[in-house]
Amino acid sequence: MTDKALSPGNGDDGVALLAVDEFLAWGKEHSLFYLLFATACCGIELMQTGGPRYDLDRLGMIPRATPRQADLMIVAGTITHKMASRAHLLYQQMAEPRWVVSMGSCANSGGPFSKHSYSVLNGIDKLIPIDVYIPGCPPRPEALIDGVMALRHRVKKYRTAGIRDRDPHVVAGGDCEFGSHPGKDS
Amino acid sequence: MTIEAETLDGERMTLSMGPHHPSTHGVLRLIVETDGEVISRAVPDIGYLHRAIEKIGEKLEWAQFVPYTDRVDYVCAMNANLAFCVAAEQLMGSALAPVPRRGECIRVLVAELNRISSHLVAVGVSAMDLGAFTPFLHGLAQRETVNDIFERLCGQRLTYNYITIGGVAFDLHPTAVAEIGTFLDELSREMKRFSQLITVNPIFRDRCAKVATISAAEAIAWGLVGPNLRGSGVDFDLRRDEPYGIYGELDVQVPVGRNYAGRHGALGDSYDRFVVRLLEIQESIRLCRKALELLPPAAAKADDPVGGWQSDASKVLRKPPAGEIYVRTEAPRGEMGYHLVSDGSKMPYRIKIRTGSFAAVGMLEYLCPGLFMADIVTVIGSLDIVLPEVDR
Amino acid sequence: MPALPTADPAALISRFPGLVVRPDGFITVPAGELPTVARMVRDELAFNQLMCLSGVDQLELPGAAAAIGVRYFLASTSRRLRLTLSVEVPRDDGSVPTVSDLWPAALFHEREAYDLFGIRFTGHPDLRRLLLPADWVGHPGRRDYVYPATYNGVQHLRDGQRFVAEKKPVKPAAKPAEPVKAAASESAPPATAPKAAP
Ligand code: SF4
Repeated sequence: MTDKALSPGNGDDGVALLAVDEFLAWGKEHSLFYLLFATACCGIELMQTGGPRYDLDRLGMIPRATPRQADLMIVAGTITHKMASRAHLLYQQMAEPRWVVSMGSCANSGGPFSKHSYSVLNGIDKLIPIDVYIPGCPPRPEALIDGVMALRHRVKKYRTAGIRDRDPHVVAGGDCEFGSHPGKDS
Repeated sequence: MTIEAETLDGERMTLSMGPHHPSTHGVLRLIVETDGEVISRAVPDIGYLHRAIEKIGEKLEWAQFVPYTDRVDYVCAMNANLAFCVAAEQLMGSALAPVPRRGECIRVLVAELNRISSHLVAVGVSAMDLGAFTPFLHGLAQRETVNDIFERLCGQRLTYNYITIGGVAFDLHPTAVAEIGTFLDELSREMKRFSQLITVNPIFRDRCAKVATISAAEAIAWGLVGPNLRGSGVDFDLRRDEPYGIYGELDVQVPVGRNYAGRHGALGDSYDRFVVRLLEIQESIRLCRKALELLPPAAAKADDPVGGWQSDASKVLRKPPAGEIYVRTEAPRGEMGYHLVSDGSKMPYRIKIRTGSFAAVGMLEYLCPGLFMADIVTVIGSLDIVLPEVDR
Repeated sequence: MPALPTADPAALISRFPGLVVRPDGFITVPAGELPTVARMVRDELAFNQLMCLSGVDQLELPGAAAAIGVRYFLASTSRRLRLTLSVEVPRDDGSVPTVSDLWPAALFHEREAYDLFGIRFTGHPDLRRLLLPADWVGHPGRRDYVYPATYNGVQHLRDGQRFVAEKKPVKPAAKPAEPVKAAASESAPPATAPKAAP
């Protein structure tokens, strides 16, 4: 993957010239450590995205068990009322700047449980601000990676220009910029 | 391995492990009282994933509940589908035409494939929790193949909604038989590699041997089921002893625990449960091959009694007769039982789901005292606790 | 294909004349007699496995008393039989003797039944809520359970959403108040004013 930040000149000689803060921003953008916060079915897809085929590690994303070391919280799965305060606490324990991806219908809005369940929180965005919404029940790993790519643009913008977008990004079907559908090629 | 907590007389420390903890397999919380490294009490606190699936069932029609059974146990959604559908079919009794032969074969095929992928996660994760990351990745790689097969079959990677009341939703796709055959061959080879990597590894074996030993009588009294029960040496498998579908024809071989760790271990320890799961994968491979052999050629019509995949679709039961039934089937984590109550209307009156992990979590409080702190992850991993099953 | 045959209840009935055999083979046991019946079933009839313990609110169940039913699904691994006991308790303040001393598997099942149905199991060593938080109001398994509008200061439904079950009483009058905006703030949970129950 070529990255413009690394090759401001022609870059043919293998030497990249850029400002230090740009270099740091590039590093931050490409090493989003995520908090392993998987509660339900979507957590299995998160696990498989981190697994051998989709391999989130190649994007510099390494799961962290503690919120103190994480930049990004991927809320994967149903959040019940009993769990909600814990989720909020975990978010508060993360260091700024922190980013949140809401993965799956349950985290977005309560999903299949929103209308009939008495114990499910209808959307984690009632408690914590969300940067990227990924619809799906569960979303495919490609959708998750797409959401992460969208988040990277934001991280870069924040790190270089100091602007943090407030309105959340929603991953929509059909505009996947990353990866293909391995299951569907026959 | 175990030391009586009482013999050490230190100050007790109370730790809260979970609900957010990487090796509790979800959102299990254990309130652990330790004396140094030795656990004196461990009280499970569950319900962090209680999504009220049973209550939801009372507000939907019978067939609409099938997608929710996926979420009851998403690691083996096909088996969860199957458990509900078998129970609903028995409740409906003769009002529903029997499932066509091909439909039954497809059910066995997908259920066993899902059992394989579920056990792969179970053994992989329990190895990962003890520090061996590589077997987990090997397991996931194979699981991806199963997911691909299922995705071509029904369009979903995880929550399939494929088995329906009266059969299955679609016929096998044209390349399915070849794909499954290739996968089974590859998996047999892979399982050998897997075993070389972890099963005979002395470090792993010693971490599991003689940890949380459960006797046969204890296992039955505490309601343990499935591989956990068989790990204690009880020869009981619903696929053989209470057959449903075409399992009666398949001559299911049941692996049981018999102190595989040898002089290091004891019958019914964590290592036995681990090995029983591996042996069950082998057995599932055999059952899949057998189901492929029995698979009748496809018919054009869904409700053809031999080559079809769905019983009379136009009559898919809207209203079962009033009654009450408890039906259990063998899921990867053991007996998955559905207690269905019908009042004769188109919606269930009450659904209660009894799962294997529920019993296993109930036993933690009994098992943990005397173990080392680090053994908790061994116990949770070897009992293969999956939280949505516990909380529903 | 009912897999295991149901045990012949004759041996039980001859000992305990208070038992009633329902047409579907379930044996109705008076709550007071449960401990002795259960002990005999386990020790003499070898039903060593409690497959499932389930509560049923029979409030709207036709042909049944408006009580809470408790079903004990038992199996015998040695005799390959199954048996179902059924106990009915009054909806208010009903209690059943525990069977957790006979089958420890019942410890969790009874806690769950207490949580969801409010059945008190006398003699249970640790009867607390199992699935729901300790400060939850009501027993959601019951048929007349009213869904909560808020829990812990968090509004349950999203704006403009309603529980499907509560669609029926459509009241045309009284326009709902302007929906509170659910814009999430950066640090604290939004202090959404608890709306009146829809
Ligand atoms: S969105 Fe669907 S797959 Fe994800 S946690 Fe919710 S029910 Fe499970």
